[in-house]
Amino acid sequence: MLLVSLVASPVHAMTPADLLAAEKRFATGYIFGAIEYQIGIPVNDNFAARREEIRKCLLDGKFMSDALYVKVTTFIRSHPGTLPRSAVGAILLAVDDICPEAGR
Amino acid sequence: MLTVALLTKKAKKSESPNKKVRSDCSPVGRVSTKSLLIRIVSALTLILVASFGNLALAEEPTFAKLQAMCRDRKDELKHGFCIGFLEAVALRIANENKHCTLLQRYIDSPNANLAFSDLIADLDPQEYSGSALTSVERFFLNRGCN
Repeated sequence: MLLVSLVASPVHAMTPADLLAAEKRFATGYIFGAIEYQIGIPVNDNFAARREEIRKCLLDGKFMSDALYVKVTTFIRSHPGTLPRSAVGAILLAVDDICPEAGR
Repeated sequence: MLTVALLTKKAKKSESPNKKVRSDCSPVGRVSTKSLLIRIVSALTLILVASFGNLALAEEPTFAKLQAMCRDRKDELKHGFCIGFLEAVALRIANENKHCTLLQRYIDSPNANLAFSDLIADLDPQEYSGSALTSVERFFLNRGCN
């Protein structure tokens, strides 16, 4: 799956719990920044097609930062398994859920 | 838009039922300039309030824009964007490259988020320009990896 290694990475950078506890405007910006990077990566790897699919889904969905904050935080709360991971990893899992792979 | 709709409804309600309207008057002609102005100002205010503090996904930022966000500690939304973007880049690079000891040390530090934003805020914009993504990746690879 897309970016599994990143999701599983044992990091001390921001965690999903930190994200939930953070001030809303900061967390909204953080989520948006992490997603903006992920949809902008021009790498032609095995996940390029999936990344493009996610990019199209997010841009076509015209998601605003407030809406993404609600979707991502709701996803983290309803998936406690994401809590020990990195915040960026949890955000990617949430995006994967918001934009399911075609045929899934 | 909701405000405009409400105002229009209210204006219609306040009209006297006995008031005769000349059939040759256009609907616009029945609205006073002052009332029209109030509606426009209300609509613009509503649009401004709705868009304030809400970002839309668009083209990736330039390095200059990202650096300005990293320097702006007063605006939590912008500072959050800076840190989210930087951590996403750092984690990906550290995962894909085994020799990024210094970068990993930054990631593992308790204040990783602030350390990253300070690093980018202090960079010389002459040296790093153009796309934020390319510039930040280049910086992390050059300085954080062997």
